[in-house]
Amino acid sequence: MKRLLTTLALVLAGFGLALAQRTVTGTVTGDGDALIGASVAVKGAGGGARTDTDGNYSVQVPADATTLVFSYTGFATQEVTLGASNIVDVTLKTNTQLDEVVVTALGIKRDKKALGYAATVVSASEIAEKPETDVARALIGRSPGVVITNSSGLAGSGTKIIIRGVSTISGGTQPLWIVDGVPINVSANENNDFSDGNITPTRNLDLDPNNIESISILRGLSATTLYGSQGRNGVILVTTKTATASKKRYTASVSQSFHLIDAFVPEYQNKWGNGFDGDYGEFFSNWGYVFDGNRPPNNPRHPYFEHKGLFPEYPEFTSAAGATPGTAGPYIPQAYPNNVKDFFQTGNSLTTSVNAGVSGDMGSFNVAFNRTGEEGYIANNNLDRTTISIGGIANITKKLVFNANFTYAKTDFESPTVGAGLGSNSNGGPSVFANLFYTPRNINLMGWPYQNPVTGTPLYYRNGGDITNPRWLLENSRQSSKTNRFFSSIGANYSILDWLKIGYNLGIDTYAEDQEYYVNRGASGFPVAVAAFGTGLRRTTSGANTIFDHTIRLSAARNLTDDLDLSANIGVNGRQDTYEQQGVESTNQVVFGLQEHRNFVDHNTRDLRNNQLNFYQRQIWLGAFADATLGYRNYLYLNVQGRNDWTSTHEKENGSLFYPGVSVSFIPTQAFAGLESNTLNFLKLRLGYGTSANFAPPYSTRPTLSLVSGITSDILGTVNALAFSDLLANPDLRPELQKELEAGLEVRMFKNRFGIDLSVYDRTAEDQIVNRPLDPSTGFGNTFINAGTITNKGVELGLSVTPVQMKNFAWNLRANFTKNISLVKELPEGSDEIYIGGFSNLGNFAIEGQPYGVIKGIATVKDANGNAVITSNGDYKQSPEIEIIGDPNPDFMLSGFTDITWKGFTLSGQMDYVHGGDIYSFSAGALVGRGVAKELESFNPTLTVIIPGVLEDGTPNNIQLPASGLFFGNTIIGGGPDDKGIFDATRIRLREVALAYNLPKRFLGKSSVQGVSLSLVANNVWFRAVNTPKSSKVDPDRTAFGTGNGLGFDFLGGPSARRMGATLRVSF
Amino acid sequence: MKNIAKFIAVGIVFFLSSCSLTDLEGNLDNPNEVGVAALDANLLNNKIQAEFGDFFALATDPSMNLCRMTALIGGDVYERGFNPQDFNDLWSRGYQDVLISIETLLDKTDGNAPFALYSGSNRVLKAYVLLTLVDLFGDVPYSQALKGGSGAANFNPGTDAGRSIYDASIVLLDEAIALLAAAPAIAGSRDVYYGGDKVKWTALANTLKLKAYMNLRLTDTDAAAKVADLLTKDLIDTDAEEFTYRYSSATIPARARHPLYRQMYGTATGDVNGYINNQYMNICYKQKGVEDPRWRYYFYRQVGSIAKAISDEPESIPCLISPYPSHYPAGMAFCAFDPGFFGREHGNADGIPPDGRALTCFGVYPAGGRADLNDGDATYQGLTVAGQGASGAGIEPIWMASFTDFLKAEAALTMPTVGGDAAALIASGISKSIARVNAFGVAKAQAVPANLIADAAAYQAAVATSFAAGSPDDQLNVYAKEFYIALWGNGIEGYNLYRRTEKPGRDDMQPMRGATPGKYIYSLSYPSDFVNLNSSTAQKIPTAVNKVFWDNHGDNLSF
Repeated sequence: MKRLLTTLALVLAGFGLALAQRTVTGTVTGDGDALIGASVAVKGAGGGARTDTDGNYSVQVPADATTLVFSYTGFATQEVTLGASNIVDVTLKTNTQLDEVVVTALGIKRDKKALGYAATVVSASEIAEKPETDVARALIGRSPGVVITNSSGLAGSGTKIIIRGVSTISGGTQPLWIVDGVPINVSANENNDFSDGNITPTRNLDLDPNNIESISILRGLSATTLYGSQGRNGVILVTTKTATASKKRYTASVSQSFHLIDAFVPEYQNKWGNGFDGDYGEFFSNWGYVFDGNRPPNNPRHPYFEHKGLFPEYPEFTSAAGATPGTAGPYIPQAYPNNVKDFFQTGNSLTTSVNAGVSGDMGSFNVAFNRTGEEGYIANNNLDRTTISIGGIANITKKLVFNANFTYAKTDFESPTVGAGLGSNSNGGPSVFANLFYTPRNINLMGWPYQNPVTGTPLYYRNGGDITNPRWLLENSRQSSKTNRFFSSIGANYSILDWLKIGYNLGIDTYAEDQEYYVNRGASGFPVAVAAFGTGLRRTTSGANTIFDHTIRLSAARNLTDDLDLSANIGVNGRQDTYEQQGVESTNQVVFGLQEHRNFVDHNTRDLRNNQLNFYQRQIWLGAFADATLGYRNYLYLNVQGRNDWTSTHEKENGSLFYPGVSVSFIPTQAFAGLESNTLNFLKLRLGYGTSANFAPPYSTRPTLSLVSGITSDILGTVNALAFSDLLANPDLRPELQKELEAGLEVRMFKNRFGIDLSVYDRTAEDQIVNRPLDPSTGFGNTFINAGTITNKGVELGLSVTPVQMKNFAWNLRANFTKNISLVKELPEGSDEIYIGGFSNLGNFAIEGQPYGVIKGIATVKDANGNAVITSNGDYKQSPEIEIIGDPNPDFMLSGFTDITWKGFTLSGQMDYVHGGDIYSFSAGALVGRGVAKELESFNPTLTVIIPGVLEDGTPNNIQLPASGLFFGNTIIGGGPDDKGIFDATRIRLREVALAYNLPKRFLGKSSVQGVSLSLVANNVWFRAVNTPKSSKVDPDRTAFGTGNGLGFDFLGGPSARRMGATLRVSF
Repeated sequence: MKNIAKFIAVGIVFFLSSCSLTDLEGNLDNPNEVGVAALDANLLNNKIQAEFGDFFALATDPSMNLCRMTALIGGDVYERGFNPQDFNDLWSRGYQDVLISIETLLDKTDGNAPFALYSGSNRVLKAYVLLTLVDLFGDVPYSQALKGGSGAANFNPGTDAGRSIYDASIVLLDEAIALLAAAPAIAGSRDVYYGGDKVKWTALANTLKLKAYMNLRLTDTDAAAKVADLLTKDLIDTDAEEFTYRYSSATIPARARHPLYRQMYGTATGDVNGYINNQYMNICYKQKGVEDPRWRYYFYRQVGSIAKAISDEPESIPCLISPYPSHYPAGMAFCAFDPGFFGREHGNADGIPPDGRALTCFGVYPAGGRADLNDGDATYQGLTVAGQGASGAGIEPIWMASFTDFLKAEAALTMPTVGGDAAALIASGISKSIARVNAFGVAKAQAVPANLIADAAAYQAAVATSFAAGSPDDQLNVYAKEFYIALWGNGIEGYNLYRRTEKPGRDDMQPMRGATPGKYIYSLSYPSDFVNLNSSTAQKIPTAVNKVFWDNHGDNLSF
């Protein structure tokens, strides 16, 4: 075969043999190393060569040629005029950004200047060796237009990414992740209602941040059209190190990181304790007797009095009455200032990473190994991840190249259960945080027992046992997942002609995720509907997700004339996703503690909320695409693209959709001679129009019946039932088309020391596929319809400045600015609003004329002058219906970066600022409403208060309330109006501070060690949501809904975490 | 070139063979569920019957708050008593589970003689749901409802006048009676209500017509004649004919057990949620000077005395140190009373003290809990926990034999053209109620020893004496109070009775805890799902008097 190809090559090259030629040889170096595979081209003629593993090349040059062009990714292209010598050695200079190559859709590498749309490239150094183990969190602030939030600071909890606003009322909003050219699944496979558990990991957690070479973030539709409907929410293109050929013959590196993890815990008053209206009592609230060293007048007993018999080692429990702790006598409440703080531990994360690779004429081979072990800020929250990647490129011949990259990832996650707390127990299943933050000040949470030594069930201060001790939940509840994942990209590329290539790429992503959710017998404090949690509950599910993705692509790149060059792609793509889940839920634990299904009395294939745990789902997309870019004299580029998709989720007549895109890039500094100067180095204007599709979720078009075996059990026995499903099928459902117009400007000035990258966009999603919840009086619960329009308009601005640039000292500044204006322009017939997330009376809604996701809830009634109206009982008068009480969308976001380099030292930092937006915070509401917030310290809980406002007759309010009547009774905890829970979410955050030191090479001498670096990094160092009560540490970056569409709610989930530590890296 | 072709060919083979990518149309049917063709009448009927029981449970719960059987604790003014979303489950159970399923079933069985029993019995259930929705909410969707799936889909059904829905329900009941007359038994049928007995279903249909006309009597001059006619028909007047949903003691799914039981017999010992109204316990205990023979079945006291509760947990009953509300009439129960009764006040929205181990719980009737067997032991403590008593195998007393006697008594007292011996009918109602409650306790192995049960004759005598001595208005009060007591567990008829007769009067019904509670809740606010997801409607003004169509009284219940 080799001989055949050689012959073919000779024939093709034969045309040139007639002309006189000479052979030029030399070495290409860059950055002190020989460059392998650098391209050497003869200007104005065909042919060329690549350097070998020592950086040497040899090229045939026609007699009339005068110039050689040397290029290499990451380095500035350099032209060398040929002289008499046949030896030309060249040293390339590192990239000046002007020739930045960007990986775009389908892995096509493009000059950034040719792009008619915005793309952000994030390099390895911005992602690797960071304290955050989830790569998605390392991207926060790195690109304008991208908003990243998280469900909590717990190790392994999920991350949500929104690019250019939400363009769907009820559909998925997460971007497409492409690793080495093939899609991977990053869903959170939620098996819990958000009330029961909202920390399920998003599966981008399986990526090893240290094996990432670079990430391109494609935001607009003109950038993502080729990916089809999956790319409509933006695309995150990951190129791994193992899939990339190294510049050097051998590379190897070892890095070791250690980070500490600390929770942001609220601050507390320590002046008075448990009770109500100044009287001591075992309430949820803390409006009790002031700690004055005296016995409260109602002569209370020790909070653990009823448990005294179980714990003879705690004599103070016996006292209806003990003078001082530890002795029997009158019970005198005292504060335990650290009772909540000590619930948290300092977590840590240990990461070991090894990369090695070889590269040569025949191709390259790389391996990467990563092991991360993380212990969260509470007990039993752990993450353990091992990834092994192997990648290689095989140059079978000069024309035929095979590449393959395999990654195996094993990710184990566990945490005590975290659900939604509404300031009075959990709203769903047991939640370790639901009652923790307002633990009464005189409860020694960490010093007193939490478990009945005989039965194992929880113990706490409430006599009725209706609060589960949070420490018991730490030990006795768990949400965990164990994932074994394999994803790979396999490709073959063949150069048919110089300018014509054909390639095939196969992506396989498959994982098996075993999830477990349990609570041992004896927990309490749930709504009666889910009381089964208290009997002991165990739910296990095994989910298998598989993506097969095939692409065949023919690509051409050639100069049509001296001025005109063309690059084009045409291809087909097929993708199939399947998800299959098996699961069982058991209730009524027999022997306390043992978590095996056999130890439970009842078993069900549905969960306690009646969701099926066993199902299968398949979805297929077929696409044909074409893309062509015409370049004129390197200053004007026109790109035209289009894709047609056929899908398995619509009836045949609606199952196909074509969506085109066009974009233009114009570079005046190259078009007009003399425009480019030392002041203005580069100017580019771009304009793009892109479209994308959205298809229905599977099985939305055909009616089914819903069979429920064992719907209940009555006096006659088990009842089996059949009825129409709640989902009203819609056979006429059509695909949805989204459109976006985007314009941009890129400028570099003052010897590239000042840069602007500006984009504006206007996106419209019309005739959306909406999951419309129906009024049950229609007979159905919901249906998918085509209706509604959402627009998102925005500005994305990146700025960079290099104020100082000297030989040993450089200072760079960068800033990313994001502003998105969302508007729900139109809703389906007859509906004024569509409920998106939260609760139907307190949640996010899409409402015509409003931004997406505004928060509705019960409002305080105001008079014409804006005064609160007060009822005859002295309370806020509340609106009869829910009203708009907040808008969670921020006004704008700003991230600033700085790095200062001095000799081997680099000091860098990131600040994030988010202006505006609202958050409904139970963290703030509960800490104040339950009387524990530090801000209340100077307040006397026994005084009465009058709420400012007017009575219904218009006269000023004069009705006195006890302190608890205002701070409890009129807050969101005690049934007050919901708008009292809304806070402005403006926040400022010191996202990162890092100091890195690279040992100068001269210290390394001639040893095989090529580099040693040590970096100290602190992440999420400090933040402050300036308009929330300071002591409650409300973090609006947390979202209570995982990757769901709800936003702007804080239901007492896990607090945010600060992570800091060090990484030592040695490269060979 | 040969290699290129080979290469492309291999690629295409890979593309096409590795998965059935081209099978787009084969994936439209949901593989997880059965197809529409598999619709089975028996399984659909099972669905309707189970969800109907739950519909009643969801409807009786707020109604019991409103007729002051259980404590309304959502707010200290009526407008804050409930939130609109509190009724979402009731609404969806009614329309989305019961009514749409009945429509689906009737499509299949109407005109299909072997299934006439389903055509008849499901018309009766449909009429009950419609009457109840009107009684609770007033005007609700009917003629435009349940059209989500039909050709001219209507996602925003408007409301119909309550009166027209009443009329339609009565037509449905008449149709049902006709259909049931000739209905054969259905093979494989499962009927938790009447075991497929068409005669009992017919008695229920007649009784529901009586119930409807009794509400209509205030505003409809024809009602008396209709009532008189119905009294000649077969009504529910024996225990065998009673209309109850019967729960089991199964632990899974949770709904298998009585919802009131689940509230108060939790998985943690003494973890009791919800409150019985103190005054209702007072009325049912021995307000008349003689003990009611039913109270030991109705209630279960966890403690033998209030002192015992306090010694167990001093802060469990903080209202003991609160002053007696000045706006309460004398004799009104407040906070807690001995021996060991402890519930809550109507409209007490205070925080929840650690009172779970002190509260009086639902007893064996109808919740399937424990009977109260404490014979005066003031130091008694017996905390509730799941599994005690009848393990939740209680009943929903949708229509008991005694209820019919009480309605007859009301007809006699209020409709001269109907007539009847009111005193005798009340006595009959009381004795049926006492006998049934006692029999229920016995059947659930929760019998109260004879020495602990008050003498039924003495009780009857006390009622008869006050009835005989009273003015017509007093007599109506005596009647209403006895019906009210017999209704325990059925808030729907309690709420109807209270609005229809405004009895029991102010000496018996506990006022709201705050002195200025605003307007009484004469009908429930619309569920938030209805108001928010349906553009054709707006919420009621909660501070206004929102009466249902048959209620022609003034605003006399706002206390």
